Amino acid sequence: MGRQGEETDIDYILSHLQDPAGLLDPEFLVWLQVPVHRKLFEEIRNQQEAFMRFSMEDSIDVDREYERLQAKIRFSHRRSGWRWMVAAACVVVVFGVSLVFRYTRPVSMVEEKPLALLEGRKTAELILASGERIHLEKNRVELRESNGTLIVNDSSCSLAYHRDASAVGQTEEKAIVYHTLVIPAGADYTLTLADGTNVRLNCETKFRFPVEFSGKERKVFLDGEAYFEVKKAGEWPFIVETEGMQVKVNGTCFNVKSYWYEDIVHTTLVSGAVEVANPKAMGESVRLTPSQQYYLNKHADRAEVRNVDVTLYTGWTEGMFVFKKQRLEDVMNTLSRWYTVDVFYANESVKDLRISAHLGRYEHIDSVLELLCAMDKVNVKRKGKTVIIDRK
Amino acid sequence: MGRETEACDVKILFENSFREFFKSLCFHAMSFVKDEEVAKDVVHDVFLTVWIRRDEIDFAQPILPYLLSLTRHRAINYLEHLKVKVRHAEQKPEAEEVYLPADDAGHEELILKIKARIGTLPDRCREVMFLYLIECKKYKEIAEILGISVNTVKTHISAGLKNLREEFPASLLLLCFPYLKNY
Repeated sequence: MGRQGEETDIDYILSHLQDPAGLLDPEFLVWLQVPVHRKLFEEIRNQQEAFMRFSMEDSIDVDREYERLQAKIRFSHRRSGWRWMVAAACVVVVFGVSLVFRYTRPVSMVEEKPLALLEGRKTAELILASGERIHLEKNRVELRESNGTLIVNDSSCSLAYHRDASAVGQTEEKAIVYHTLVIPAGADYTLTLADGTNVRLNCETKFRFPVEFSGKERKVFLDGEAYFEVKKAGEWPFIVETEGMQVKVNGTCFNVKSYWYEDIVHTTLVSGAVEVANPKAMGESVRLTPSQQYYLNKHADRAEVRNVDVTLYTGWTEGMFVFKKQRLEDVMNTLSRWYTVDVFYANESVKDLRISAHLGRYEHIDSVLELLCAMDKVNVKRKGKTVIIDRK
Repeated sequence: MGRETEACDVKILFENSFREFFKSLCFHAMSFVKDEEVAKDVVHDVFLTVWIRRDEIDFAQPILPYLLSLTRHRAINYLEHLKVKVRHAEQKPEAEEVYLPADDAGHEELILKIKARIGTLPDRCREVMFLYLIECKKYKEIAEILGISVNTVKTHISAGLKNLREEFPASLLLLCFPYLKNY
């Protein structure tokens, strides 16, 4: 970011205070090494802090924050009384690897800070057609594709594709250019497609989509979980292709969950209408009405259609885990995918305990585990990335 | 005076420090990271570190400078983690060299000055600025409360900020931040 000629020192500082990345601009850092500049920076920064304080003084609840801190401290404390737990864990491993829940997960993108890894964040990786990879988080990124589409990532963690309205209408079927968005464990992200459709992508998801849709249909490919708000558009069907399901819609809100390593896949309709077909089964497709779910076990022959409480399946888009009398093992599967932890069960029967809860996804894992403990059915301990669960 | 009493004392001193400084440290972190939730996380990590190192800390001494340094250090780490991976080599100078040791001049006087300045604004403008800055109302809400149009609200905010900017350049940043959630 070069220094403009007419810019005053104050403007220069303000322009760098505006954007989190600005504070790390190499040129700015050099400029700040001059004591007079540094002093001015601190003055302006202090003013900004005063305004923030002015506006937000009352919005922070210190009592609640102290409780939150205590939960974290309690968990880090348990590590000291750990010796017998580690011994027990070893025994568990020796007697039955089947007791351990494990799955392969993608390499975590951030390695340094163990505490920070145990909290949900908003981050993703965009892979262009050329194979180039771009890390996305709150950084501002702007790209222009060869067909004129403008791609923007902004600090609210949302990526948007803007069609170039001035581009000449394509009558010939050009080869469709695809991009892929990869969401790691413990993260989610928001994407707006070139047609205005909004997609919320959950953790461990790969989403492949055209930079610009063909005139015939809007087809995207999903491995993982996503919540769609499809922009209604006349004779232009929106199709989600995923293992076990092909979902066809035309202006509607629905959630699709289909992880390659899980047996169960489902599509839940919130509003509008969708048609779901099993690509492997011949012909049959099912029409869903709002609050219905298409539920398929990949090993089974046919799918079920059932009425569901949609908040159980869309809670994640509001930053919540929502569980209703769900088996502990299923709950821990969801949590371990999000927080990238391994779960050991001290005995099998614990897995069948039923849990109901509303948990914030962006909470530190210790707060969530503390809540599970407080339900008085299980003892939960965490050592690093391993969680051990025992009957109370 | 047993071991237990000493441990109790440290816990109480720690809790006092938290209650006294948590908010200030959050605002300090926010001026770097911009996001309220991230700022809170940063400060939580700071206090966790203090707790882990509590035996090494003399709580009788003023602890704020230490807390400020930790906060800045953590905030800058966070910013560095955010950067799009640029392919060129080392970063000279290191951000930490530049921003540490922390500087914190305190705000009581500054806040009084801000309030005084807002007090000098014309009536309607002042009402709008108050709702915008302190009660953090959105444009639409302000319009409804005062019975004026959204455009009028925007005009008043624009004029109010222009006025504030003369004495406080940093007020320009009030328009840029989603944390205010005012659009």
